[in-house]
Amino acid sequence: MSHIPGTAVRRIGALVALAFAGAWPVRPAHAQDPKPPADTAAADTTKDALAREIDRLLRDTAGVPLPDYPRAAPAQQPRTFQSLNPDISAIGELLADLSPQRAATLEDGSRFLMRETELGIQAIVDPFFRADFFIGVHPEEVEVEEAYVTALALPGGLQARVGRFHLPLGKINLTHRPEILTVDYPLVLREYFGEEGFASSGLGLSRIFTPLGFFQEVQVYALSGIEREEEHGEEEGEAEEAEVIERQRDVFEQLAFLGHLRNYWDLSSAANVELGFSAAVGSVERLVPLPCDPSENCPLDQPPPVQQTFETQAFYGADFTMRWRPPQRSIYRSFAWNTEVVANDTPEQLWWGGFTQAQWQLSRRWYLGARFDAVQTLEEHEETEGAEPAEPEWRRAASGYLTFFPSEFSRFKLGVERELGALASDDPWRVILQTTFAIGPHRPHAF
Amino acid sequence: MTTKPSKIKTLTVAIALLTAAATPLAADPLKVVTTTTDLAAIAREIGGSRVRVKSIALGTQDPHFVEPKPSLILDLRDADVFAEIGLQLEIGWAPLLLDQARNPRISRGGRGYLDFSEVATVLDIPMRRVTRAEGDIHPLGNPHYWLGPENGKRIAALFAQKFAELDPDGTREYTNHLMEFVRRLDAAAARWREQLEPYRGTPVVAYHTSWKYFLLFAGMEIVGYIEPKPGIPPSPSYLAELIERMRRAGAKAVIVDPFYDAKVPRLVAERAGATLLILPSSVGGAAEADDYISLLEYDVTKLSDAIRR
Ligand SMILES: [Zn+2]
Repeated sequence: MSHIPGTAVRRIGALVALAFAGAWPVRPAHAQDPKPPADTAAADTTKDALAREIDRLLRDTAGVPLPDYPRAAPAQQPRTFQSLNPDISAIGELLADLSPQRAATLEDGSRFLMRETELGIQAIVDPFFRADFFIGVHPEEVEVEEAYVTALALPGGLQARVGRFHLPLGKINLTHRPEILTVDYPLVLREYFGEEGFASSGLGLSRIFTPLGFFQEVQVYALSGIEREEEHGEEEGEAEEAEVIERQRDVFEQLAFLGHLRNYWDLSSAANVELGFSAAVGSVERLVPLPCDPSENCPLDQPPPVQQTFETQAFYGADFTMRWRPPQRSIYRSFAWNTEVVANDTPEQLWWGGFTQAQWQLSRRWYLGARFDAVQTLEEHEETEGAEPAEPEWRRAASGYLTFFPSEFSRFKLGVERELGALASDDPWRVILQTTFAIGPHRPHAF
Repeated sequence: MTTKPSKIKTLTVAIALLTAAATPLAADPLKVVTTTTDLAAIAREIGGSRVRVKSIALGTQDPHFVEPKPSLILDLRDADVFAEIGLQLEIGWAPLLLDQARNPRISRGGRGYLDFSEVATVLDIPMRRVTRAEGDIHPLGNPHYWLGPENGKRIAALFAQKFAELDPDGTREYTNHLMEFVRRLDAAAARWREQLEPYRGTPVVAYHTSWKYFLLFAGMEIVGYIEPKPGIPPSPSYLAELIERMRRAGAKAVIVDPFYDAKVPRLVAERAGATLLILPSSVGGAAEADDYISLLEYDVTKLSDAIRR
């Protein structure tokens, strides 16, 4: 916005001050240099003097000479030619399965897997928008992980985003998988949304508030859906072979909505906490087998036809983050603790899941982390037949991580994971070495 | 006779208060947010009472690595001026904050956006293709230019220009403050040069290339840096080689910013027979260094004391 109103008001203020100046034994603080309004010529001289002084200072290096400045003054050396190109970066992520006994646990059953190459293309579009593209190249497919344009400043302090993006159901889901503190997303996100977390397409609005004296941000999204996306290589269900009686979605069944409230407090210059709440609601497809009478037009050797229906599903989330990083030792010491809970509200029942994770920075380049996961699940992901809901069981896991950053752009992470509880497999240990390397400009990481 | 003026005073103060309440913007200072304390200190010198200045980084903090805390977005949301050092010093945090500030006045290209690397004299600008084999920071040149006093003047000049543009009523004040600042800095720089003259050419070592501008001004000979490349911690073999080089050159001091771990530099200094010197590289990095000129004053004095010993 322009500064003119402020200036005009200030000018009026100065005039008012001048009007009182005659009777003014003590001059008001904001008019220490009252300037007679008729003195425009003097003002111009002042301006010229400033311009001359600035010109001299910016041009002349002789004022305080430095002996060995080998470069010409920057005026003769523009160095921002490349600035119109978008920032192009790439992150490669190689996993090595070092599990001692167990068969390899990587997606394709091998011991080494180039799980993802993520290409990031980011640029300011024009004074109003910036655009971000993240393309994930996987062993068997290429997918657009995120692609969105952000309107940086709308009236009313609003910011808008259109495209496909990771959604703020908790905090961890916003970070791309190669850059999270652990090797995989938490079980709860994988179980409810898939290996790469929760992403959808649509439109989002956000606004920052401070009515209570601390930072609050509200985000609302209208989305194309909240359905779990099919994994690459994942088999389509057997229902595929059955005849599906389709039904048209109504408008609300075609949309999903998500809201997120973020609260942030600085406890000191070193410590801060954040508490977030999320809710998402949408409809998911369910295929309900129709009752079948063999005597009628329903042969036994074929699956019964299924009716496509849409049911409301909701997710509720809460996230709590505590961070500590002493400013003067910020490059050597830090600690972050993050806990998230997600409830998955389906027509049959409420499912719960969550995780808690912490990371200690041991030195400039070394970090130690741990995570505990729990999520309610149906064993083997079996489709519930008809209306008999199976009892959910808790799937639990604990994992520890040692991370080494040779520089900001390369990372080695050794992860040791153990499945816990009744659903754990016979050999519950898994050892993964993750190598991540990034090229291109620095990619800012959201706080 | 004595009561009358005081009555008038009371009355005028009352009216002044009323008008102040009615026109809250009348005395509203320009809100300036800077990335570092050095820019903030110079902005205060130039803006005086017409500006309100806040620095994002602390003087004791490594300006390369600052957390983009959401609370900082609130400061930027209302700012009239945003001032940064540039050359990717703040790349890890400032762009994020600016994007979220929803404030077009201070966005890149906005009227209130200032990147001082556009006017500073910059060292170590790569003359050939840059790769990160040169280290993971400083790809566009050495961003610690504020530690050279003549760049301090340029920073002051650009602030004066911008403040006068945004607040033309203050032009005279900004000009006077600029002239005064330059006069004081020139006088101080002349004094510093005199103070350092006997030690011209003394070999020294610094932790990070942040000290290059200052050491060139001070006429020191830089034998090397503890970091082999900007942002990359040293290996033992590199340190052994550095200590050897220091011994041969007779290096007198090892200069370290307060936010680096002093353990390795201390060891290097001991082995090479030099003095370890923890010097603030930003205003506020030491209690005595509370404005731009006193920062350099403090560093010049500490350095010449250390060499004299
Ligand atoms: Zn640096």
